Amino acid sequence: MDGSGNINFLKKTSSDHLPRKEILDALPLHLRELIQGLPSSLWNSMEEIRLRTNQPLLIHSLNKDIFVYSNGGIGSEISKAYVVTKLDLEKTFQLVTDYSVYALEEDIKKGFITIRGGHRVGISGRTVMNGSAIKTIKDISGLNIRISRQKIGISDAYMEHIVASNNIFRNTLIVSPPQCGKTTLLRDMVRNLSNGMIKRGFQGFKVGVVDERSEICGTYQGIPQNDIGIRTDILDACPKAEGIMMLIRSMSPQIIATDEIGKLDDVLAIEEALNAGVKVLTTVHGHSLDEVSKRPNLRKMMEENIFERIIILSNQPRVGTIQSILDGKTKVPLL
Amino acid sequence: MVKAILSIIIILSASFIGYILSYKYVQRPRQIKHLFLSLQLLETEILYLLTPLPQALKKVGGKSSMELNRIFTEASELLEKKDGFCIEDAWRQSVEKHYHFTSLTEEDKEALIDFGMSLGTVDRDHQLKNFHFIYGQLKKQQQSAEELRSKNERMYRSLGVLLGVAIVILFL
Repeated sequence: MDGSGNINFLKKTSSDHLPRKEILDALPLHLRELIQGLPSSLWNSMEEIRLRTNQPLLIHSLNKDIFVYSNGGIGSEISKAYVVTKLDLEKTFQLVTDYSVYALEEDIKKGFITIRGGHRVGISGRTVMNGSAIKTIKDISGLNIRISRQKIGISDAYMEHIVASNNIFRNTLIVSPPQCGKTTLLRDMVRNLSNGMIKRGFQGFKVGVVDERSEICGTYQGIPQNDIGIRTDILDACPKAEGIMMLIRSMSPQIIATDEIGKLDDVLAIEEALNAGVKVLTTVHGHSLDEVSKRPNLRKMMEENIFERIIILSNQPRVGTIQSILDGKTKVPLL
Repeated sequence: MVKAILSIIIILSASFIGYILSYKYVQRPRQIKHLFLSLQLLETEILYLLTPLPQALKKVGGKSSMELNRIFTEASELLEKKDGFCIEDAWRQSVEKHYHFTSLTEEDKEALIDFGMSLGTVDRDHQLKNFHFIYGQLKKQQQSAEELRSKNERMYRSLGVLLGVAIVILFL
């Protein structure tokens, strides 16, 4: 049951899926021409495309910034770089919003939108306030197209650490600095937990995902663009604390998965879930376990040792490296 | 006998020409009314159902009257192709291309094109304002179209008949 034949998940299930067309569709014609001709090695490693008004067009890949030249070439000379105009940004914005700013108001308020394929486009500009709440963003001055790549199978080898032999999932916390692949790992774990792995001796769990920032599932118009398994229920764009309670009440999940906890409300909701007998899989920003334990909102939770497994990620030697897996109680490295 | 038949043919064809000339004056208020209805459908799609614009235009096109549906469906097709069209251009191109097949005037066309300028690119409040603005314009246009119709419809028709009769009398 690897879910590869599941047609409900658009395209992304195939490992050779290239996000190329989805990204090109989001760019206006002349930018498309510039980017189209890039070498495929760059396409495969591309993480972000950055557009800022009157600044060079940048591609971020493998921790490096690459300039795109006006003639379609690439390199590191800033003088040859193509300079993004305000019009480019406006046109791109129309394309990424699918010509429907009115339909995405809520997303724009949060500062990002999800496009077909689950890629996320971050927005910066001038915010318009309504009282103390952000109403919308206007005069868009920067767009960041973040290419999402589902890495199917990256968690396969680690599943035995988080699922005990008698089909019991262990509460797991993933600790990782930003940009180290924590969401990617979480997503793949959700997929494996939801599908079950007969070979490794566990059956599928009912998984509820609270996807506050549409990052885990990459939901576009209600359909998850990533393969997140057959027994997964998604609350898209829902605040974590409320979402966790909603799932417990209505969807009877065995495991709740969510990304980037940090607020006090999140912690309380997680405790509530544990009291209700639901297991938790979540992630947190941080470089080490010590650092996380010192955060005021998380300290209590860490002292209570509610997580049975702690996975620490790093980007050395490359993004997504699992530095260690610790036993939650004894803090003894298992890997 | 032949004379009589010819006279009748002349009178009939002249009145037919008069009828054709009056046709666009009769059609215009009707089409403006249909346009009004189509735009109201679009408003519902946009403001309440939050349908993305290309799909919304397509749906409205499907429900619009025969003369108008191409304006909406073509704009939708242009946008869906994702050829890097911006809304304004796609809408303008579609309106320019298809308004010839309607009885709408240059003035109506300009109003429609202006309407397209802020379609989809602004938030809901502004969409609403935009819709109300074009409704106001269309109402005015409809009034003037109605006036023109009552003036010209009868004039062209009777002019046609009279011209036919005049020709017949001249030749008799």
